[in-house]
Amino acid sequence: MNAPERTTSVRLALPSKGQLEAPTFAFLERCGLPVSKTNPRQYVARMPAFPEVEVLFQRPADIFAKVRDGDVALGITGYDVVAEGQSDGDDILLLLERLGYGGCDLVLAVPEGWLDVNTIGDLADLALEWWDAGRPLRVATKYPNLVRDFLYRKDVHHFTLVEAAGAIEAAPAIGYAHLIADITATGTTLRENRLKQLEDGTILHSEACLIANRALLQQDAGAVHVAEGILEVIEAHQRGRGFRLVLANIDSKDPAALTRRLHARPAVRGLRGPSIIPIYDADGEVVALTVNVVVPQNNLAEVVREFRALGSTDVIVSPVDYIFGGAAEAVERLRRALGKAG
Amino acid sequence: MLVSGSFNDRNKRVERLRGMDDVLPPASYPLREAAARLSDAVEGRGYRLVDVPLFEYTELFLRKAGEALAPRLYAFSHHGRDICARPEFTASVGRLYVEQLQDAPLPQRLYYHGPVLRYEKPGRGRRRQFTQFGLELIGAAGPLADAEIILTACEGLEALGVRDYRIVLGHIGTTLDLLEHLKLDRRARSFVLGNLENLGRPDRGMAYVERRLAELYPSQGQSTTPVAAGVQSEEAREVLMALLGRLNADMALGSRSVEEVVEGVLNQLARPDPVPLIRRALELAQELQRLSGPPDEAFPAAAGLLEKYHLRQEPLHELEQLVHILRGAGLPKDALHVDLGFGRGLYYYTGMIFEIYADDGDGTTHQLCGGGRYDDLIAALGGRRRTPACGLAFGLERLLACSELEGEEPGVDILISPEGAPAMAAALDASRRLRALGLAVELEVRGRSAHTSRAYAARRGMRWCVRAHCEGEECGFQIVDSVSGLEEHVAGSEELVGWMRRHTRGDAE
Repeated sequence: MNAPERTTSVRLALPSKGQLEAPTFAFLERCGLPVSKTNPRQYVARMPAFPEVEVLFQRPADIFAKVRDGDVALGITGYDVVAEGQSDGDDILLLLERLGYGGCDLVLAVPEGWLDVNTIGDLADLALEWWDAGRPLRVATKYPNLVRDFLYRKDVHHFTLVEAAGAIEAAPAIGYAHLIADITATGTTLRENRLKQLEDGTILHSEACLIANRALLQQDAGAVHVAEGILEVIEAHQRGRGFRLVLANIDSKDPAALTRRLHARPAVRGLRGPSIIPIYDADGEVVALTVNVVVPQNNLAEVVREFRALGSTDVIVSPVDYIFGGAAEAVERLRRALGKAG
Repeated sequence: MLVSGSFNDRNKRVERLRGMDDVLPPASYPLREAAARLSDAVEGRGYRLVDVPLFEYTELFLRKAGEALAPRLYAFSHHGRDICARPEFTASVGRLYVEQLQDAPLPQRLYYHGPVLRYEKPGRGRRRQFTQFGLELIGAAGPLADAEIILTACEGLEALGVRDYRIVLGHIGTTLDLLEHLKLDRRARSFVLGNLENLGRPDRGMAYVERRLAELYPSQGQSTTPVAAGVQSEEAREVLMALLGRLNADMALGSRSVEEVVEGVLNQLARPDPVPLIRRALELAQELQRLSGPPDEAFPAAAGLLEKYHLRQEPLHELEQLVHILRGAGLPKDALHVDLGFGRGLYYYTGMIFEIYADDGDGTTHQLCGGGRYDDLIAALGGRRRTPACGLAFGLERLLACSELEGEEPGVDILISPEGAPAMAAALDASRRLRALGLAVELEVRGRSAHTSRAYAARRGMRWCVRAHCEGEECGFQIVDSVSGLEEHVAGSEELVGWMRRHTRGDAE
């Protein structure tokens, strides 16, 4: 049953279970890429926007492994997982590093009673002192590669990593490690476990990210088509997110005069300039004009004020779902990474 | 199943790891030749070959070879043990000495060669796997032993036809005195030692080291706990004990006791800000580096500087004696360059250190050899007594880039091919007899015809193509000379051997 699918389907792995599942669905939905899961117990689904896409549900760590090994062409997973698993010579392409949700930090935390350890420098002193006393510092983590590289970069060389699967925060209290390096979004779990973050101990900031397998993309035009399509809409959506579309009716019959007045007010000029549409009465006479501009969302109050000052009584604001530019930057990057001209 | 496997059946090529090389003929031959010539050179001085494992406990290398090496190790946990691939040999040979040779008469002269692995950014002249050839002289102190190491290095270079090499000679003792003099703490010492090399590099220098310093000591100048500064230590101890006692101690302290943490805080308060001291040490090291030059100029200048800063003159005297011996042994004057401020990436050195540089044909300078004296290593690895030692290591691939050694594949003299199955035994027998004459004989194993066998032999540069053909018990051989095209028939392998003897040895005699 695999043979015919291979030529047509492109596999996209999405996180199932865990903290990324619901936000990923919501994110894709917002981007106009809803996933239709016919049966909640199934592990495959479809993406109507791209009929050739076969959606698989996996744990975030497995998604990284499947994309790396070329079992799956595309995947959305946590950047922490990618940064931890990546090594040179991999076929992993990071198409979009920050999708804007699932944010968290990988941090170093020590028991809060360690009054003499507040910075990495303090930790470095402690590590040396203990090493000389034959007592290596034990760090519990699920992220051995990131933690090792970070500590080495900070000139902390004498430590042992304890790779643990669950309940890392409890390690210092139980005693199988002296300190921990773990993911935290709010710091609540750390505080509950009487741990404090080191001041300069943030190893990595992570969000959900979109990854692809380079080799698969290089040999499968269909997968590239899907990847570029997804990148286009995500990027256009992310670009649109910060903007609002504003329609304002203004009692004026002279578009040229109105344009001059609008251009004198930068807030209501729009991205490239206003577009102005006449409003007609039953006899076909122009009675008013509608100004149509796209403005930054956080400028909205000023925009409304300016339109009122221009004599507008009705201002209609709606969200901007997408802004498509000439070509998506991420698509250009992808083409360069695949060795194709832009 | 849908979930796995649709792409798994691709015949994906398994690729070579980055920074690691395949070595094909003829390039594979000079490597062997270089090791052989170096072996001859050092065996002539009484060094004996040892071999040590490719993997060791990671601690062996971290114990003394130093912090800077840690990130460059191929280290992993295997069945709960921290082990790594060797990044160098000296620590392993030291371990071997402690384990097996402590009762043997001194000195021990040992040499080794083999691959080492370092996880570094690969580049020109820097590969993640490369070959070291090195030696250790264990159980001898003093300038004569130091001189033997350097002279052996020079002899090795000459044996490989490396010309115009430069020896940079230093002494880590001066830097160690400096650190002692400034009373730098353990971490600050590591920082200075680890950055001497960066300090001396034209592309890095002081600006780079300053950046690292700011990165690693970000809170310099501003005490992290200013309130307690100046408080009497007994008073402070009581306050802290009371404070910590109020916390749910077990949970809040993890594995440490209240006393330990209080002690830690008090030590921290008593410790001076290390950054000004580190800067001072770096400035002095840089000043030393600036005085580097030919021995006749560098020695008097360095002596003045040591006097000015009340540092011991002994390291300088040791180097002067060493240079005197080296010159007496005929080492060209302009090959030597003295630099008291230079450091090597490894921390176990205690005395003289050196590096040897040469240019390859393309104008790139390579470090071909490095070494020095490490009198503390044996004891640090658990030796019964302090045992002075020194050694050196060559990087063979870099050495070859700067040597005249050319790769030459060994030739094959004869291709022998059987005419069908009945002749196979005769072909095998004849090839065995011909090899006994000292000839290289390749057996045709692809079932080629007489004609294509001749084409193959000619292409591979074999002088003769021999075809064995048998009918019943009777076997004969057709000999074709690839050069002249002449053909000859002989009956039986005895005659074939006789013919070849006449035409090969006969030629030479």
